[in-house]
Amino acid sequence: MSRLYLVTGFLGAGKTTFLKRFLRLFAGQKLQLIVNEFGKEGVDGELLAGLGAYLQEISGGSVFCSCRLDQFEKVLRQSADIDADVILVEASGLSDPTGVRRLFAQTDRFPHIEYMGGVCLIDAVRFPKLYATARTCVKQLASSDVAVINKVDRATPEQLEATRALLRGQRPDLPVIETSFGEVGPGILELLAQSKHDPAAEMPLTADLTLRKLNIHIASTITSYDLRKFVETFIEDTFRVKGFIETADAGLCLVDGVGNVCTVEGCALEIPAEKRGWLTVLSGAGMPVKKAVKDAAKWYSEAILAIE
Amino acid sequence: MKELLFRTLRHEETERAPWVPFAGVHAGKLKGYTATEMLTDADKAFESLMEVNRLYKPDGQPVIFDLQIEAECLGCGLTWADDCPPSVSSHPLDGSDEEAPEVPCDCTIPTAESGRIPYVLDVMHRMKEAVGETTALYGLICGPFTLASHLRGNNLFTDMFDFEDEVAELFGFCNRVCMRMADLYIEAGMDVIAMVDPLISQISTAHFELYMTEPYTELFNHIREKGAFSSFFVCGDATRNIEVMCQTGPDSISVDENVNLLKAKEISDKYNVAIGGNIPLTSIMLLGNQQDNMKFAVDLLDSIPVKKNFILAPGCDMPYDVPVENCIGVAQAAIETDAVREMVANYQAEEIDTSNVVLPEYDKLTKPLIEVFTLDSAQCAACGYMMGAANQAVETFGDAIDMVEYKFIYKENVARCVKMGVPNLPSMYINGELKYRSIIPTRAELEAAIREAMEKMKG
Repeated sequence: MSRLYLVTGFLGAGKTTFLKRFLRLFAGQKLQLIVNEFGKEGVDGELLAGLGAYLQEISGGSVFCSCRLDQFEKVLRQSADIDADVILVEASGLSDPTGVRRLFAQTDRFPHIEYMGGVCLIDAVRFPKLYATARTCVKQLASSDVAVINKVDRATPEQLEATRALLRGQRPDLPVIETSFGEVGPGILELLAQSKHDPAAEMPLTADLTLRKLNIHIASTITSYDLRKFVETFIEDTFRVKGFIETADAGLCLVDGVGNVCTVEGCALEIPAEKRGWLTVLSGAGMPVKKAVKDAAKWYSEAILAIE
Repeated sequence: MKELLFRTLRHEETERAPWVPFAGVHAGKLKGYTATEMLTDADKAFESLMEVNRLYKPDGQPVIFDLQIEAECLGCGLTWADDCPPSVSSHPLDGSDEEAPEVPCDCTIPTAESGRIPYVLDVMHRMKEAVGETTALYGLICGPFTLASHLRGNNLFTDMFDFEDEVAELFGFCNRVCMRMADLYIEAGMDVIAMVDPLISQISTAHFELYMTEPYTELFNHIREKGAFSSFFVCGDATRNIEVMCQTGPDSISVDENVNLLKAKEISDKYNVAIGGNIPLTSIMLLGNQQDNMKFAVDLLDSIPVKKNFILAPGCDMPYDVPVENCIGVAQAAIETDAVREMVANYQAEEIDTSNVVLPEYDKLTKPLIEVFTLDSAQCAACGYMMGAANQAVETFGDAIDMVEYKFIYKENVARCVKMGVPNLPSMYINGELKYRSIIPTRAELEAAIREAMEKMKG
């Protein structure tokens, strides 16, 4: 069984430097590194050789298309032969990691791989700007289980605070490490291990003033596919979505969304009638969730009964 | 047929939905060429595209699917691969994110002689000559946003924040490149100009409206004035931008599996824009079997009862290694939906009773037995060619061989396929042994195989 870690972050956030440090946490283990970008600075070949790591580049003009996961899947299938202890996947600065994240959440095509979580590298100086312009940044953060604010030494106190505030608002649930030069210790692996999502867990309490909560009432005429697509339309602007919804084709379903992955699965639990048909959405302060939900509801207007 | 697609692009109701397989580098696979050969050698590309036309019976087909052609002309470095299009590995306008991007001079806009454009135009002219009467041809152009990112690199995203005017000028330049490409491709006989801009799914609606609405509206108006149809291809979860894309006035848009097509169609219908898509590229086309592909296509077609403003197509450029029989299955579903619906139902029947199927005693045959398993050779192009090969063998060998066709449209033949373990259709067996699977043998190959079987039987 190989343990797989995903590393994302916009170009310039220091992914390569971070990877070099991160790789050292696995010294002595058989490593496979999958990168899908021809960056300015390649990962140091000597360093990889020293660690006995096996490097694979995913090529292709269409790698930024989330639909073109075939190249990635091909490398993953081949990875069964390499039988590495640890697989590190570096998602390119422009690539949308949503597909990679969902691949492990929604399929069992790779029984030889255990998904350990995603790390998002954040540039302490440029993050607020990038977050405002590039949806990829939003998707990268939504795909992650731990955030690493890098280049702290280059940020003014105001810049650093702006980055922290944005991050807290967007993903209040995410553990954060602050560092420079991509320096991280073994603690990051513990944080990743702790972040493993338990769908049965209760929603966080909303007493925290930084949290916003929305309830969406959904008609039982909705199909399970439409329900999932509805949630996926706004899920990146939330950090937790959960509810029990009657569907037209699959009966009562548990909807469970964390980060950008939403599952809708049949549910055999006894759920009181008053709890059925309601979806609870949690978001951080300053997230445009209400607008996003309203825009999504326009696509499914016949099934969305109320947003409160 | 071409006219069917044209009617859909004119927003008329049609008897069935047109079918457009996006076979880019996958076309090369059909003739055993690499992606690089397919995208650089006009003879090989033409030969491959003709095979797409022959096997998949498209109503429309793209000629060259490579979003790096314009970028290469403008100085981007490319890294080539054998099984996918090249990727951009260096960006000529890359530099400090503290400085605005420089906008290239209009004198650098590609011409008919730049980079690989002569090769593209050559293939376009040849395709027009060969199949232009019956098949609508798509000229594909890298859209202004993705082209700008090829040129500038990732700084483009901070530029949109820091240097609004300069980045708008860069988009303006890219749009003039697109305009030139559209002119060249229309002159080369392309019926539909498709602007392919995958990165559109990665920007907000506000940024689309700020930077893209004007260039795209201008582009689609220009294409219309030139007498061609237009399409707007996007990749990824572009749900939030579907409406603003429609507002730029293309004749059609094309989306992938990330978008809920039926819901998106409600939006595009509001603007009377046709929508194409969205057969999943990896889970269905690449990794699924022929049945999965036929079922997906039939279900999708059935979910759109009124055949208007809809084009059946893969979500995007098909992966190189898509099994040929999968695409044949989709083609058959598009063209003979009712028959394929029946086949899928037969196959899905809970238990297929094979007890009445009597297989020949292959080891006791006195002469070679050719068994051809087809979807229906009268309708499916690839099946017709497989049967054609078998019929040629009968002409050559006469009574010295036996030949039989089993069409999958009949329930008893489904049971035979199950009992024989036929992996996909069309397939050809000689003396009970699977010899040709989807790939049609040449006359010489098949004759050699039959002679070999005869030799074995003598022994």
